[in-house]
Amino acid sequence: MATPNTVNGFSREMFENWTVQMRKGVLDLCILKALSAREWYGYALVKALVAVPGVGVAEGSIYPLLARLRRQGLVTTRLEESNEGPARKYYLATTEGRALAEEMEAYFAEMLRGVAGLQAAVNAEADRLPGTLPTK
Amino acid sequence: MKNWTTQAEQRLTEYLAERATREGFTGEDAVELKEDLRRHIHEESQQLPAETISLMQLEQLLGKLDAGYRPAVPASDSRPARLPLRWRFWSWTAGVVLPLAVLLFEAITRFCGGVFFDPVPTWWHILLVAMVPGLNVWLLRSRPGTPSRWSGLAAGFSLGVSLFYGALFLPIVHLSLFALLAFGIGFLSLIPILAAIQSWWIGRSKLLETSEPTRFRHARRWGLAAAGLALLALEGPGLWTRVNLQLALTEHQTPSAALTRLRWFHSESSLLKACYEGNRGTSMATDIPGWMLRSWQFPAAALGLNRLQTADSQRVRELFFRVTGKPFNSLPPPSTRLGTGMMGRIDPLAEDFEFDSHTGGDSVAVRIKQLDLTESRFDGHLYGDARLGYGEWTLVFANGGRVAREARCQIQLPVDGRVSRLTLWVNGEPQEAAFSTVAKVKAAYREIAVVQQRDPVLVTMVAPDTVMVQCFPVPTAGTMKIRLGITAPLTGASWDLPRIIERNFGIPATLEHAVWLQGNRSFSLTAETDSQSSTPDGPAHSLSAAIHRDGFLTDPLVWSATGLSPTPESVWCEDSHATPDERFLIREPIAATPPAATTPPIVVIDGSAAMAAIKDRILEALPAGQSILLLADDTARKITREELSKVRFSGGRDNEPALREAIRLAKAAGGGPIVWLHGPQPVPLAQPEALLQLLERGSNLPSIGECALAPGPNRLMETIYRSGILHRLDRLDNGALSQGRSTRQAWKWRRAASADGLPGKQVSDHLARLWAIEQVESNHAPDTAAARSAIGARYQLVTPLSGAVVLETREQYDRHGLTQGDPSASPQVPPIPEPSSAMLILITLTAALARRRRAA
Repeated sequence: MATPNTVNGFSREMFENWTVQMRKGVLDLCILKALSAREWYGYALVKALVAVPGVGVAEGSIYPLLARLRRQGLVTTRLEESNEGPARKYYLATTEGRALAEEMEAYFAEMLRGVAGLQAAVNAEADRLPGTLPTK
Repeated sequence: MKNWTTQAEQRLTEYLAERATREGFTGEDAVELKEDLRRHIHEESQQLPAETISLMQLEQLLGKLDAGYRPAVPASDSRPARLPLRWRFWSWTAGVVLPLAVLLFEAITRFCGGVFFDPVPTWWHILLVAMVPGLNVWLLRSRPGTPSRWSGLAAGFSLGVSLFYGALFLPIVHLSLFALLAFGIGFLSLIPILAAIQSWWIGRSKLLETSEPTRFRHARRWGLAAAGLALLALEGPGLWTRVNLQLALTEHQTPSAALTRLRWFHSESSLLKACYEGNRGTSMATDIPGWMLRSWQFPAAALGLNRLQTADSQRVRELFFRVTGKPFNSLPPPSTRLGTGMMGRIDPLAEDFEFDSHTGGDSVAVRIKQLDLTESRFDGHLYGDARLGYGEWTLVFANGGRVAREARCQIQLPVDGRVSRLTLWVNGEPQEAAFSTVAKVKAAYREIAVVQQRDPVLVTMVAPDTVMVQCFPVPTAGTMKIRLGITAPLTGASWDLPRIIERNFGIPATLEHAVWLQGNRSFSLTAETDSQSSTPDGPAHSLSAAIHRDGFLTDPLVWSATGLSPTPESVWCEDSHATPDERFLIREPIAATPPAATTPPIVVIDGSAAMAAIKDRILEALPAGQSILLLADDTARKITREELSKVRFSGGRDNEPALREAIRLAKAAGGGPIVWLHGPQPVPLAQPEALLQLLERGSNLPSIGECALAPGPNRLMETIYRSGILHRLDRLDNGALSQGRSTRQAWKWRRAASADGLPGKQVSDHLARLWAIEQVESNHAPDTAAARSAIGARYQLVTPLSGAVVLETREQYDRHGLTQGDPSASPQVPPIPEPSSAMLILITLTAALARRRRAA
């Protein structure tokens, strides 16, 4: 029988912790990737990021990340006066930020390929050693 | 844009502060995060249909923004979060109360201004400094909803001003700390530094709590810029002047680049202030720009790296003239503050530090505060038949200071005029002067005035038709009254009233120079723009006028006889100083002869700023011939008439090189005439010996006709006038410039033992003084200098060889071998009708009667 924290036989809390860790890493990549392509108005960037499936962060959580990236010199900002309210802040990745984004993206792609490759390896091992569990 | 309720605004501010803390952000990072979140919420709020964002709408927005958001517990107190008590105490104490208190203290006592520098020399400075506590009060009392642009602007301005003043006091912070620890005093100079720190802290607090940090920071930058601009406007000209003055004092080429820059732009008040600092004269503290350049010496001296240095006052005063074209003492001394009211009157320190090191000296030097000419009266009599005038100038000096002062001035006399009477009032009684050699009268004055601190007055001649008057002491809170009698011939039909060309005392703007003129024929008094004619007064004519201060200081006042015959007649007088066989002195005119053709004069034109207004007159008066024109612009530059019309006169120019060059050229040409058109030359010569050598050596000595076209002292003239080659041109006209000298009536003098059969009329015995002046000053007189000096003393004349001094007691006169003048024998302005005229009428009537009897 499953405990209240257990759904479909696994711990929900554990899954949520894992997604938090996952999002943290991927969010940096998403931000740098977006800002490598062009300059973004902060509000629009946040809206675009929260719309990415699976990112699932609160809008207010992105600003601390952006501040950290700016402090690290990966992102630059500029202000533009607005007649309709506070000055608008625009973000753009620096050269270092773009280089890091490319490297992160390559690493992420490699990792995805690795994960996909791992499945094939598991299947091959099952064929080589009869008696082990089939993959499906 | 949506409207926000106060509660919503306040709640947002609280949320943002809490969120920044939750994220672990502090300082600028916290400010930036709050700003980003606020911007986001603002964008979100724009999507809402409601026109006003209330607390409820805000809570919805925050819930969407923040996954971990918990609505706020309703606050019981709607007031904004306040600073901790101890910070509030320090903010109010160091940011408001102490700066205000020290400003008031300095404004009243001028404590710092009397010792180091004047931090608030004008009302603008006081306003600027008062804005620091004022703006800090406003910032401390403002609510979080205050528009960020205003609070940022205020914080920036307050920070800018307080940083500037804090930095000014940093160089003496070690002295303050030492005094504070050792004696318990010295806190005052630390207050601006504390105020600067506190202003920064108050601004930072407002930044952390503001709803628009970007706007706040932007406005703060504008506030800082505004403070910088205000300080630049107040201190920029002074700083520019001080920096270039410093460079000019160290540069040795002439003219220096710094001097050229200063002539282009300078702050006259800053230059003048510098004239009263340094190693001579007074020891007044400096101004803010002066302090900015000098204050580094304090920490450097404390570290043993340097010694405190003071500028050479003489050089600074020379540069003042070189830059402005004006003698430094032609302007009132720099006021300690604003002149009137509490801040002007209470000046307890400055005066005590003011030291006049020139008492009893040969120069007029620094202007003394609170020493003024308070009364001025001139009484004159025109002797038309004798073609001479006599005037008495009564001057009353008042000293409002705490120490006795010496009043000094140079007075320019009428052309060929000499002082023939000197009176000092001692204990209300007029005392006449003793006339003797210059050395004797100077020695007596120095001993009595400077050593014994008693009452004398001294008059000596320092330049052509120019005397130096020294009176000491003008007592504390008292007055000193003197009278100068002046005898001078008419030049043509005119007699220039004497005027002060250099002084160490002030003349109140309200002072009126009371003029009374009389004569046995009609006359007029002409100023630059005005003219007044005499009116009949009994058997004579008189005129009364009240001349405004500026009128008698700058404009020449010319007293002119009307209806004089163009051909003068012989006259005679009884000379009481002569031996019986030469008792009667006769003056006969020598018929004018056409001037001999001479080489055209070399014309030296002063390039100083004072000459700019007279350029057109000079061009008109210049002869059309082949005169050599030399522009005295610190060098000797040959120019043409066309070039002269384009010359831009600026600053004060050294005329010595041009004059030296002119003398060389004139000598080479066989001793032709030189005409020197000039303004003041109030600074000492660079190479006086080189000039004197040219005048003392060789045979082809030129004659120099000088014409002062702007009033002021002239050290160059003082140096060369004793050589005898310098003479005064009475007017700037074509004739004088063509000849190099004024065309004056020449006279023949002779003497007789009896009055029988003498030609012409008997006139005033002033005629004998004119003869004596010629005898004393003529280079061709056969007498020795001692004999000529004795003539000057006997006829009671101040000449290059004789002076006048009034002492206090007979014992003082005896001790110095001087004989006090007899009041009954001293010249005076006669009552109307004058005795001589009445006597003339009587003699004429008697002679007519005697002739009728003989004929009968």
